[in-house]
Amino acid sequence: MLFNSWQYAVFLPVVLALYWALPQKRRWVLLLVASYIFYMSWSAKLMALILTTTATSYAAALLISRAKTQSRKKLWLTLGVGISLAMLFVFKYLNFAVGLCASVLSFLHIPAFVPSLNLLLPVGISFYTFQTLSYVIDVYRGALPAEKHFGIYALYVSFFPQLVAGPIERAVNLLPQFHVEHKPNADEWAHGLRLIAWGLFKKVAIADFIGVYVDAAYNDINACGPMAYVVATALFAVQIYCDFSGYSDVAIGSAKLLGFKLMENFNAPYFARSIKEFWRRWHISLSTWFSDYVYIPLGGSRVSVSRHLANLVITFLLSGLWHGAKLTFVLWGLCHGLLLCLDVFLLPKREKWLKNAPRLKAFIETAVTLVLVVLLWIPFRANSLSDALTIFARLPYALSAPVQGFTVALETLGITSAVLIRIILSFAALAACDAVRRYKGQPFEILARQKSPVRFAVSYALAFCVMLAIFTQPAGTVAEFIYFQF
Amino acid sequence: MKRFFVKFSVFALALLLPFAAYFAYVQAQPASFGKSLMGGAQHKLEVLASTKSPKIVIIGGSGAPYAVISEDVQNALGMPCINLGTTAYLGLEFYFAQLKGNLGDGDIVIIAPEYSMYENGIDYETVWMAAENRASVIKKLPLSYVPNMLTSFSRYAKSKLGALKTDGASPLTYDEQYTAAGYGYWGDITFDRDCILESGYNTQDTRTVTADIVTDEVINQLNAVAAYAGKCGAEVYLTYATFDRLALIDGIDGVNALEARLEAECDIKWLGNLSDGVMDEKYFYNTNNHLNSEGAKVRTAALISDLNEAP
Repeated sequence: MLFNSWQYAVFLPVVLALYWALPQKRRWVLLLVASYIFYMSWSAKLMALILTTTATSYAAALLISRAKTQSRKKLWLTLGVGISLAMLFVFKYLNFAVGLCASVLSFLHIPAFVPSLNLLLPVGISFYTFQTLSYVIDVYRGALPAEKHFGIYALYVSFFPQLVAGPIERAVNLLPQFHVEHKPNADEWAHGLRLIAWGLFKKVAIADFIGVYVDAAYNDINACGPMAYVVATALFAVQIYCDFSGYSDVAIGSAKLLGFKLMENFNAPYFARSIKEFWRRWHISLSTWFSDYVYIPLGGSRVSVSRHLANLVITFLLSGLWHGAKLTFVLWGLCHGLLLCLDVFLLPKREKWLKNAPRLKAFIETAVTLVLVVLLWIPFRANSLSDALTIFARLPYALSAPVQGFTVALETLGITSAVLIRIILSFAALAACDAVRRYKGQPFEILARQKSPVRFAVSYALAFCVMLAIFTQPAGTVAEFIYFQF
Repeated sequence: MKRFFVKFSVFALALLLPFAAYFAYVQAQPASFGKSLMGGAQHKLEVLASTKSPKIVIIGGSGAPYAVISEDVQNALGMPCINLGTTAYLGLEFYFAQLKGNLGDGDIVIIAPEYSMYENGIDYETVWMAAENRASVIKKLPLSYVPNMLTSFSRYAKSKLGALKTDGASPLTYDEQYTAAGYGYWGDITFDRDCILESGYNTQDTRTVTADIVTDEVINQLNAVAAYAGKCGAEVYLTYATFDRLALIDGIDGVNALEARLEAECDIKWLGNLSDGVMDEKYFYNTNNHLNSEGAKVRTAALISDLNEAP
């Protein structure tokens, strides 16, 4: 049941009506049942996995909290974390690991029987596993008490707005919200609805629309010239941002309608002035997760320079692997890690550059960061490592005749003048919204303070664009969210 | 709270109004696909509604009217034979839905799905054309069609308004036979035709058949229509659609596997075997599904024989 599907358009209002009609003490039951129905709409078989993860992490946390000695606590922590990670490894990485071993053996001309495993990747496994891991670790660290109510804990793991693609909520933030009574709040509902509309706009009107042109280039590596890959990569940068942040907005908006507050997952990431800042603004719930549970425990930056650099690379290699069991994601993570290492050395010098021209400095830094981030989307989107390397090798040729190449690229990708105008207009809307967010604050909170006709006009324009995009999309092609594969 | 719901309702109404107005405007325009292939579908549904039981109803894709000669079946079995098959793009569920209220005691429904119909490949713009301006057809459409019908309405509207400018839709494809006038009264193709395929098959439309091509939805639909027909006193049979043997990649094993799966999962009686539908290229007319006159005689004779021997 995708957020951009008709099923969800029916599911959410039904859940909302029942939720607000029920007394507080019964609401968790409804949300848990709804969350499991939501998850089972992909596959009922996969329920066993989420139930196992829920039960093991619940038990591990309880045992940690009841353990009398530190060594016992450590034992339960190791078991709890180990079981969750083992399940994640088997379902997400085993095929990759086996394939990698086979390649190495084949390269060394060592004959070996490599079993072919046909394991289905359970939707959302990376998200809910990380959520359970943070819970168990936080209980071990004493950051929160273990949740005794199994139903509430199961709801924390499976809460449908953020179950399959985040935000990866921390128990400290979400669990207490299940215990307090939420009162209907018209302002929050209006805010939630606007967030859902904005999320759907980004997904349906922008991401799905431009995705077709990105696929045209990336799915046939020999189909296009170098400039087409520049255009397609730039489009992909917007596609993935709109796709994923759109999902997060619908998730946060849906939760708001139920009275819950989920953490922000994106904050104008393409306005970042460094790669470090980009990661404070992109997929915030994952970045902070890696920071809290990998980077800082490794020593963070309060160690020797070489160790600090190693910590950065390790953290981003793992972040790349989290995204998918493919070498392309490993390369993507590695490159981000290396750029962050470079930034460690450049930061003191950067602070001295253009001290008297802060705006020019900000512009240059933002532009350079944007170019680097966009270039690094190439391995992320490429279907294979060799595709990614081929595209990188071709890119310099795009500079030979940029204007002519651009025209040819548009033609090759099938981008007509009308399509180009639509792309430019939607990018402008997106950039304007993010600029407001970067420099003024949350756009919808600013909108909520405006007079009623302004609120109505903006909301109406947004909802109208969403409806128009839905009613003109190709039938039967409700596109999945990119992050579902992770 | 009351204020919020009032404001929300006003907002929702204001939002839906332009879309509803556009929908009403397009629907209020005169039908423009009456002369096209989809006009044939409209005619066939009228014949279905007006023909009393007992009757034979054939459901399939565009190949069905090329495969069965209605008059021969009528003469052999003594009841009218309506060939509903127009195009596979309407989907099996479209045809099944139109049977509702039109089946009676002693009726025989013969389902001959083309391979793509097992995959549930539907073109909703085509469904709009087949159902245009006909409330009786639209209201019978399955619920599962509604979301995609809504999202494909804009394309249908564009085609319809464009067709109106030229005094009705022209034939949808290159050949004039693909019009409403190409069908006889009972919905079959009646004109004489020989093979015009240069290689004996359409080289651009080859396919592989496996047991996996049939979706669970289609299996459920087949079982549902059999149950519904049973309640009406009608009998349902599943049979083969014809396919050019040269266009079948990977041989007949996949076809047999598909039949085995259908037999295991569908509670419907069979007429013939699925592999019988893989016929010699000399029997085909202009596509890998459409039979020529000789092929139609062979297929019709086989169907009559199967029906006479049917349980």
